[in-house]
Amino acid sequence: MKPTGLKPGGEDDGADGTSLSGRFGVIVAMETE
Amino acid sequence: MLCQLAVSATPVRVAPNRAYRRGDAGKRAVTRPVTRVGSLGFDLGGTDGDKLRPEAEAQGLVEDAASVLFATECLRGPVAQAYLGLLTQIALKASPTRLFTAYGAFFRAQSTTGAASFSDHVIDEIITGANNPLAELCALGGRPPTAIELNAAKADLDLLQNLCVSETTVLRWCEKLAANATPRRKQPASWILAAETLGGGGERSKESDDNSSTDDEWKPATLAQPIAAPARPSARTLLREQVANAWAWSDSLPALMTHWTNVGTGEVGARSVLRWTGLKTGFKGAWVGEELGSDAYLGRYGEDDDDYVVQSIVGAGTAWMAVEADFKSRPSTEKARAAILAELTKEKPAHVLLHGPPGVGKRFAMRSAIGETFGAGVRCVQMHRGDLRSLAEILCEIAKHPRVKFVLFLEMPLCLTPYAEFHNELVGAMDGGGGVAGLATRCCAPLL
Repeated sequence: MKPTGLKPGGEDDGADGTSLSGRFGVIVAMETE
Repeated sequence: MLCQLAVSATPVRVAPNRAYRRGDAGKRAVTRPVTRVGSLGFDLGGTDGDKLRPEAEAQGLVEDAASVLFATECLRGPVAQAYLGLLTQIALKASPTRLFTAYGAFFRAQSTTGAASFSDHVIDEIITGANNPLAELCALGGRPPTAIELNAAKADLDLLQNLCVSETTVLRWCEKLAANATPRRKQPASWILAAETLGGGGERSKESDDNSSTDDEWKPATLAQPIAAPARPSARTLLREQVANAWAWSDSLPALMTHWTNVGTGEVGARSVLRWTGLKTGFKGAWVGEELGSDAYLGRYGEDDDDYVVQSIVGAGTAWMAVEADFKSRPSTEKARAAILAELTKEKPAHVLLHGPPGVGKRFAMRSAIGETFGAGVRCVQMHRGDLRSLAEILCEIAKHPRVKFVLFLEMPLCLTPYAEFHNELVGAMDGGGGVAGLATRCCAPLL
């Protein structure tokens, strides 16, 4: 298990039925200040 | 003929002593060896109470329980085991300490079953028919029961009927044995009242209400009424003084009930940030407080303004208590915090995911947003990767607190691939699985 820098909706995020990020109703992105 | 009248040691059929049987149990005749001492002139005219031998009666009941053939499952539950444990202590003429310990165990077990009396509980178990060969045969169908099965089932029913003497009788046995051992000591009147209520199906509750004002001062909460934030030290101090200054501590019960109703009980009632410590130990406050000593950890005796006390109630670190002003120099973090907080304060918030490059302040933003909701009574379960193994247990524990709004804070590097460990467990939990239907729990996860 490696810490991931993946973004939700990326290639490894899984299909619709298996997507974990798809379960989150709110996705907040932060950027470097 | 004279000898036969004097001592009859052979089993004879006699009606059981109806004074110690519940309901119509006494209608059936039982076979027991009986010595008719009265006909020898040994009866000195004492009262029934003087002739009472609780240890012999209890020993007979224990033997009845041991004789059950099919319906053994009825006596395997915690209530029946506590009841048999109490009977065993009575049969052994145990010391009052052991006697009342066993009675307390039975009282706790019986009072939580929801059944009006122990006999009702046993009858419920009989109706359930678990592991009863005759009941299973009936359910399976295919052949009629044999005479052996029918006779065994009838014998069980009669034995169980014998076993279920009334709670009042068992209480009298305990009192008699205790009075013999420590004649100068009396149980408190409130204890007697509680014990007499057991098995009465709540019949005494109205009578007891006349003597207390519980109904006037306390109302039960509805499930829709959320639990408040943990009590501050000043509130605890007031309550502690109220109990200590009461003429009898039992007089302060309405105040205690109000406190439990408002803030909950145990660690969930005392802390805002919780960690899962295992199936037996459940939730604990997240902050260990080793540096500050046990008093600071308890957070019960300090002043309200004491930061350490507030930390002990809320949790570790200052991030939980960070306010908007702390983010002035970090607009991105402030924006994220506001977005999370806006979601969490909704009546039905969604699961929240936070992602961004390392070191940008995701954890800080998430903690401060969750911490802002603590005042409304939200409890945060701080989860690390290892805790995901216990996700089902955590959800079951959470389900025991239906009035508490929980936030599951997945403070871990979250891998989104469907092949990742615990992926299915997380998906199931977020879809409302884990046996927790309608739970007011939301997952918040920063992608670290």
